[in-house]
Amino acid sequence: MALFPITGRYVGDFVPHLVAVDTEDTMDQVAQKVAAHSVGRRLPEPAGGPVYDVYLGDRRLDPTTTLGSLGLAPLQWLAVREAVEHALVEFDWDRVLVATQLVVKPVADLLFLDESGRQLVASGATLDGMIAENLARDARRSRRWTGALLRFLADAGEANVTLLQRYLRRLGTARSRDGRGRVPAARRGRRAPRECDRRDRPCRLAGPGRPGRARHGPALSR
Amino acid sequence: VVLAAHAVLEAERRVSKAERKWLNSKYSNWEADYGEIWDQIIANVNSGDLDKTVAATLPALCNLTHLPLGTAFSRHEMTPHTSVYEGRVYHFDSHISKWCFDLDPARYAANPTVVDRFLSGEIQPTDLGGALRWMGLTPDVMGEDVYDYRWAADYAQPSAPAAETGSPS
Repeated sequence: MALFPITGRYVGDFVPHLVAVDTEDTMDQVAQKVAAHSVGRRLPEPAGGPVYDVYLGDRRLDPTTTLGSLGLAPLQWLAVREAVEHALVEFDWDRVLVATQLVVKPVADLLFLDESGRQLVASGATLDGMIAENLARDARRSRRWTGALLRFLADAGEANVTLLQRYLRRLGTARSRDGRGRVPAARRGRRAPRECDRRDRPCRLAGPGRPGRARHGPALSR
Repeated sequence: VVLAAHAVLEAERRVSKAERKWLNSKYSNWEADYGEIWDQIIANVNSGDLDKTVAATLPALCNLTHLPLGTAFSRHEMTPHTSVYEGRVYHFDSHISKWCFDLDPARYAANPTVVDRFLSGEIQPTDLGGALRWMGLTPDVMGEDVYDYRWAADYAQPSAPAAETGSPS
């Protein structure tokens, strides 16, 4: 049991902090200590309550893991963000649109339709593969509809773009970008669609997703 | 010095509705980068939670510029820039600062930041109050809001802009 300094970043806040945690702290406790410097001070409490995830790089740490067991160096950068599970308990229409259509569904479709379809075909389950492929085609249609809806909302007013982008950033990636404007690959099943959170252009859905595989490893790509 | 400047600015930081309008007209990303943060600060001011408008710990600092991490770019583009030198982790506010450090790490590692001094025990007592005193920031130096938070009263009306909840119009 010993005090341990980390560089704690609450995703959404504009500055990380020096945070004193304990080697015996679980990730849940670390998350609370990091969030305490941002939530309620410069950012509102998440709609679903104060439930957070801790990220070491791109890796989400198990909430019960203790800090000491990770063997980190002092001042390690740990990112804390609102748990994505909150996306599933949203009730406002605009938040639901962002949470499901822009964050959760594209990743789920990519995992369970595109990728598993390819795996099924590769393993000889042709009929199942064809069904998955058909559903994936339907998912692409859904994304085009969502894109059209977002364009409609964007055309209706700049305030809509600001609001939707705010929700998207809240629910988007754990690390935001790698400095080159690219978002990390969908390895953790938590990323946002590619084009939607580009803050310098109107919100537009991209086509069928191929998340930054060139620079972020082959994870889900063929 | 930088921290001192930040702390002094704390006393003067404000964004009235008129200033916000001006900022948005000059900086197209201002609302996306800072609007939500100011909404929370304004809400705290208007509900009397002034203790939540000041920091409770030190900001993490860049080991090259000694500026707070995250101040070089938009909060939405923040990502760690880190080097390990002689077994120690060093953080930077940008890949540019990291590049400079990596060219001559011994030179820059020899200049501890306020956070480093804090952790090494050079600053006593090791709490925020101790750090502020070390910088000469006593309450009379820091002061209170110079406008007595009148700028925040603008927002106390029900039609506050950029409210957190609400459907697109």
